[in-house]
Amino acid sequence: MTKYVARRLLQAALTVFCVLTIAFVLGRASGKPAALMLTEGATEQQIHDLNETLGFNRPLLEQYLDFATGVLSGDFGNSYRNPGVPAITLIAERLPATMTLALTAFAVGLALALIAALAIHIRGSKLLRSLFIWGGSMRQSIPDFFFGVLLVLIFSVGLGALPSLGYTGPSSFVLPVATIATAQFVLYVRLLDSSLSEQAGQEYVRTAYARGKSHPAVVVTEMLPNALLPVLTVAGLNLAGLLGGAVIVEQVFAWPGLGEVLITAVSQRDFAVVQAGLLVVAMIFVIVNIAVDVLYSVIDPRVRPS
Amino acid sequence: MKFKTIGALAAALLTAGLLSGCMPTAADAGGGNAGAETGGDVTLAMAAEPSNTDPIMTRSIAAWNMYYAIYDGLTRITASGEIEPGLAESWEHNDDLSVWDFTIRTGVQFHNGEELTAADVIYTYETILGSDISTNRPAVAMVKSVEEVEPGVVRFTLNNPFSAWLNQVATIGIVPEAVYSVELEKFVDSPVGTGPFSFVSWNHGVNYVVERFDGYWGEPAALDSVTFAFVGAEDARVTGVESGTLDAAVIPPNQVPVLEGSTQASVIAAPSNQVIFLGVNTTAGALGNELVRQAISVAIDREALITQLLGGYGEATGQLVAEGVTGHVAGFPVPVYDAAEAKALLKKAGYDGEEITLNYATVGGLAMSVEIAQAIEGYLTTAGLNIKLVGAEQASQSLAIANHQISGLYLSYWSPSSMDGDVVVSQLLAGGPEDYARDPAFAELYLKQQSASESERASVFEEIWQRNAEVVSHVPLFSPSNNFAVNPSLSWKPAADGIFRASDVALTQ
Repeated sequence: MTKYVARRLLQAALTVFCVLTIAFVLGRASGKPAALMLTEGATEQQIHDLNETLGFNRPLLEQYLDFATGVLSGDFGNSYRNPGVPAITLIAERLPATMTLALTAFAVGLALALIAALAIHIRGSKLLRSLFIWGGSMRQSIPDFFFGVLLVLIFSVGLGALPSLGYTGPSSFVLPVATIATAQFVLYVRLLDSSLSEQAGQEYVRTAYARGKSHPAVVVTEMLPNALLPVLTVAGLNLAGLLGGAVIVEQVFAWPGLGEVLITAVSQRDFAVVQAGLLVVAMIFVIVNIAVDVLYSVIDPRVRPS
Repeated sequence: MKFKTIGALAAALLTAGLLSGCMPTAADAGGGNAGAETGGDVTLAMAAEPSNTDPIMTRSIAAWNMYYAIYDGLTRITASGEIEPGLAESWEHNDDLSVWDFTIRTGVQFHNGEELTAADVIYTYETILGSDISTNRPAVAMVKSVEEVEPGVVRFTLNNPFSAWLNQVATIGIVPEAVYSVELEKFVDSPVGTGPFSFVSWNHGVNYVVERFDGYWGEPAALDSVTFAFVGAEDARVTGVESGTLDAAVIPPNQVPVLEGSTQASVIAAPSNQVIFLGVNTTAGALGNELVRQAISVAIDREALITQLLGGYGEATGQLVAEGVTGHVAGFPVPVYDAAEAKALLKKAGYDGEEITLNYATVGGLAMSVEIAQAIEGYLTTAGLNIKLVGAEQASQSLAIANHQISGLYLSYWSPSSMDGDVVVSQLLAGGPEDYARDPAFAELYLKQQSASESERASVFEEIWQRNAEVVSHVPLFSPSNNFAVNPSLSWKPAADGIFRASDVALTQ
C-alpha cells in the first residue's frame, strides 16, 4: 500500500509539473502584460520599458528556467499587479470561500440524494422514483447560471428574503448552495437509483433475504455499500471540479472564489496568479483522485493492490 | 517669467450642454445632494475590482472609485467634468504652459491627523517618477522637476508645453510621506489620504468599505459610509439593485428595459466620456485608400445602431471625444448615412473585393461589442466590402491594439479619465500605438494643441476633427450613455467618466 501511494504521489507531481509548464507556455504565448497595465495613454516605448522591468522581454527559456527553479523552492512569483504580493497569497485568500461553498453544496446534494435513493428502494415506491428522477431531470435541464438567477428572482427580488449576492453572512450561502446542491442531487440520485436497482437482482441479495434479513436492512447494509462504488468515482471528479472553482455560480452570486480570481488574472495576463491558481486546482484534482482510489480499495477488496 | 492666473475658472467651458438629447438624464433623479438628508450607508457596485489600490503604483479606472473617496489631487474633476481646486487652492502657469505653480491649501488634515505639506505633494510625484513599475508614471512622464519654490508653492517644470496638466494632476492622489515612506507594505491595507472618506476595510473579492472623514477640509460627505461591492456579472448587478442588496450599479443598455416599470429600482442614463469608433490600419491594402475609408464612414447608419442596439441611449458623433470632454466641438458634423454614396466611393476607389478583417472583443470591455460588430459588418457588407469578423477576448484585442498589430479594422473605444482629449489624440492620431497613418499634419496639430491656451484649444481640436473627417484615419461612431440601476431613494448625479464620487451620493429617505 505504501509503495502504491508513493507511486501515485510521484505521478501526481509529474501531472502538476506538466500543468504548470503548459500554463507557463500558453500564458506567455498570449502576450506581454505591460500594455494591459498602462491603460491610459502610454507610448510604445513606455510599454516596452515596463515589460523589460518585469522581465518579459527576456528569452522564453530563461524565463521558464527562472520560473521552474522558483517553483522547486516553493516560490511561485509575485503578482505583477500587486508589487511585492506573492501570487500564492492571492490564491490562498480565495480558498475558504470556494471550499465552504463547494463542500457544503456537495455534502447537501449527496446527503439528500442518499436519503432519496434509499427512500425509493426501501419503500419500493414508483411514485417517489418518478418524483425524484423526473423532477431532477427538470432541474438538470436548466443550466446553473439560469437556475441561480431564477432563485434570485424568486427569493431576493420577489420575496426579499435572502441577499442576491455576496459573501457576507450565513444567509448569503443559501442561494449559491441551493444552486449547486440541487444539480449535485440530481446526478447522485440517478446514479444511486440505477446502481441500487442493479444490485437488487444479485445473488447475494437473495441470500441475505434467505438469511431472514428485513428489506430495509438488506438495502442499507448489503446493497448500499456495493451501489456506492460507481458513485464514488463520479463524486470524486465532481468534488474536485467544485473545489477548483465553480466559475459560473461564483459569477452569478459575486462569490469571491478561486474561479473568479482566476478569470480576472487571465484577463489581466497576471501570469504568476494564473500559474499559482492552476497549481492549486491541479493539486486538488490530484489529491481527490488519490483519495478516491484509496477509498475504493478500502471499500472494494477486489481493487486492493497486492 | 510672466504668469497668467486662471484659478478656479479653468476648463469651465466643458460643462456647456453636458446634459443632452432625448434620453432621461441625471436631472430626473434629483442630482447632487440638494435637499438630501445627511447620513446613511450605501452599497455601490463596481463591475471590476482593482487588483491594487496604491495610488502611487496603480492607475486604473476601477481604483479611481476608491481614490476619489480616500485621496485628493491638486485639482478635482467634478461630476460634470469641470476642474475645481483640490489640495491646491490656486495655480498659475507660464505663457507656453510648461511651468505650473500650485499654491497648496493650508490646514488640510490627513486621516491620521497630520497636516498636509508641500513636501507630501513633492514626495508623491517624485515617488511616481522614480518608480520603474508605477502605472501612473506615463501620465506624469512630462515632469522635468517638481520643487517648492516658496513656502507652500509647488512648481512643476514640464519637458514640453502641456495644456491638459490641470486634468492630469486631478488623477494623482496625494499620500502622506511620513506614512507611505515608512510603511509601504502596510499602506495598501490601511491607506491614509486627505479625502472625504477614510478607509475601513477591504475584503478581497467582496467589498471595499470607507466611512465619512469628519476632519475633511471641504464640504463634508452626506453619507456615513460607502461600501464598494465587486459584482462582475451584469445580471447580478441588476437583480442586486432590485433586491436592495445594492444601491447603484452600472448596467449595459440591454438591461435597461428589464427595469422599466420596476418600483424597486430606477434607471439613470447619463452622458459618458466614451466614444466608440472603428480603428483603421491605414497602411494595409484597400484601407490605404482614402476613398475606401470615406466609404466606410458613410456606410454605417449610426442613428440606427443607437436606436436598435442601445435602446436610444447614445449620441452619434463625428469626432473622437465625447461631449463633456475637453476637445469636444459642439455642433461638429456627424457623417450622414448614405449607402449609395458608400457604393459610389468604393467604385471610384476601384475596390476589388479584397478581404478586410474587423477585430472586436467577444467578452470584457465594451458592452454589447458582439452585437455592434455584427451590425457594422452588415452595413459594410451591404456597401460591397468583403468583411471578415475576428473575435477575441478583450485582453487579447487590447494587446493587439497596443502592439500595433491590427491588420484591418477594429471596433474599440476611448474613455479618457482625465476628461481631456489630449490623450485620445496622441494615442489615435499623433504617434501613439493606434496611429497607423503617422500623418505629419496630425502631429503638428497635436503639438499646437499642447501649447494652446484654453480659448485657442477648441479651434485646434476642431481642425483635428476636420482633418480626420477628410482623411478618415479612424471612424468615429457614437458616444453611448452610462446607464445605472439605482435605489430610487438615492440622490446622485453620475459623472461622465462613470467613476463613483462617493461624496456626491446621498439618501433622500
